[in-house]
Amino acid sequence: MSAEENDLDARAAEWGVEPVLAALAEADATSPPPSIRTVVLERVAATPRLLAEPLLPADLYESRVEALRSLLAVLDNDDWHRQAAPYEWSVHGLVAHLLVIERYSAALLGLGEMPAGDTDDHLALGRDVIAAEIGGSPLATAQNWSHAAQAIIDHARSKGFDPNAPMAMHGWPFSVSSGLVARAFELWTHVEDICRATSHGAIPASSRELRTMSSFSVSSLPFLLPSVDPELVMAPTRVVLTGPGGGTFDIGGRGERAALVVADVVDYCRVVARRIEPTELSRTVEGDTRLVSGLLEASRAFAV
Amino acid sequence: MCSRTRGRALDFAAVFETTVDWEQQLVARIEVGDDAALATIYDQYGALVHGIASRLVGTDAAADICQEVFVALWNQPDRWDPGRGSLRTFLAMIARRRAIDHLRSSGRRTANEQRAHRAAPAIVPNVDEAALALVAGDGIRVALAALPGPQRRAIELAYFKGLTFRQVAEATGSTEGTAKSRIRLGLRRLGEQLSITDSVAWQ
Repeated sequence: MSAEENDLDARAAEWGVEPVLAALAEADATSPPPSIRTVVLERVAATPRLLAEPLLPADLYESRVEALRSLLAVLDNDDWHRQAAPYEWSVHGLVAHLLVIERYSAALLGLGEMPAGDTDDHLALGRDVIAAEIGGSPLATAQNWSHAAQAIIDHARSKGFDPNAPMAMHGWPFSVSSGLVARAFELWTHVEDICRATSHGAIPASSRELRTMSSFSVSSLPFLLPSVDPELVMAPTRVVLTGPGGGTFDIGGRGERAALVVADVVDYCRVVARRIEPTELSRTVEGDTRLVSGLLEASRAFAV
Repeated sequence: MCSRTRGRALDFAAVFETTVDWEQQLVARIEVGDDAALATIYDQYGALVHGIASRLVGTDAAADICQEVFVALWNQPDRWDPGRGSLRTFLAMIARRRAIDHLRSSGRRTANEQRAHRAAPAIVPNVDEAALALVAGDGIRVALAALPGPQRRAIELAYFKGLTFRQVAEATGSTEGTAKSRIRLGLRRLGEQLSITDSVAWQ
């Protein structure tokens, strides 16, 4: 501020009279020429906001693996036996399930054998393995899971790793990159589950992690919408996810905007993970509310 | 402006509370790059910002200041601290500071004579907020007129003309300390009369 120290504006805050000055200005309000609005919005459009840079899928996956490792390392015996809602499994059982899913993912990448069971049924896959792990020690299960995850990380760091290769998970036609993001999303969800079950403090995802996960989810919404309601037609929609790691996404093509939805990025990710119902999501919607409801329902398609 | 709300009583506290939430959500949207949120804020406060600048520097320069204020909000939304006051107040103060800078750097007198007549926008996104502001504005004008003459004159020179305390003192034939004291006392009295000081209904 270059207002001189000996003038009213320099002292207004100190004196607590800024609201009085703003009120005095009200009578002077004059509509600016319409061209100013246009110029302002053009200048704004020319200076896009610098947001958290998305991570590479392999980096996101590794980061979430590290988060879960650090959490498991501090669990005590009671923690391992607490129920990990919304599942009937204990925390131990949930980590055994993750072990199965890491092995399943590794098998899709050509690493190791496919676990026994219906590969389209995420929760039923590898039941025998889960039962065997639960019969053993939690620390051994944690170690087995960590090794399985590390094999995927090592593969993603290896020469010849192809992030664009197909990786069809549970019937979803993912690429390897998309598959790793989906896996990271699951790890983020279960870290939250375990923290909740054990009353450990939350391990918040970084803004770059949230940005990567939310971008992945929002960009898939137009493709997922028909699976929710074939009668719904995708139309230009703005999705605004607020908070660190959020962003502004225009999906559904160009043209006049049919809908706008604003929500907190972490809460949105919880909807995607089926930890919050779409109807429970605190949000602002403008325009086509039915379309927005359909998109929020569609956002949960990958969660199991 | 706000004719829809003139015929009914405003619940000041409720409107203020919802306005704060509304402003915070819009700024949160700006922080993640939503230009539609900035357009909404412009539609709500553009006339205020333009009016402040027009009074001090005339309509031509006011157009530039108006642009600068909103582009600055886009570039640095975190400069607004909701704990210190409303977005309306924040933008008003930024507009004044920029206008006074312009005035002093150009060496010009205030441009009252160049001002357009009041022509506030017919449509604003948040009608209740605008109505509250209008009521506060009307009330404070009445309160200003009721101030003791020396206080009112000192405020008019400092606020509407953008004069420094020293210039106010010269214009009123008083000392700088007296001019400053009159302005401060007068403004505090306005704030008390309208219950719009620090933490009351209108921030």
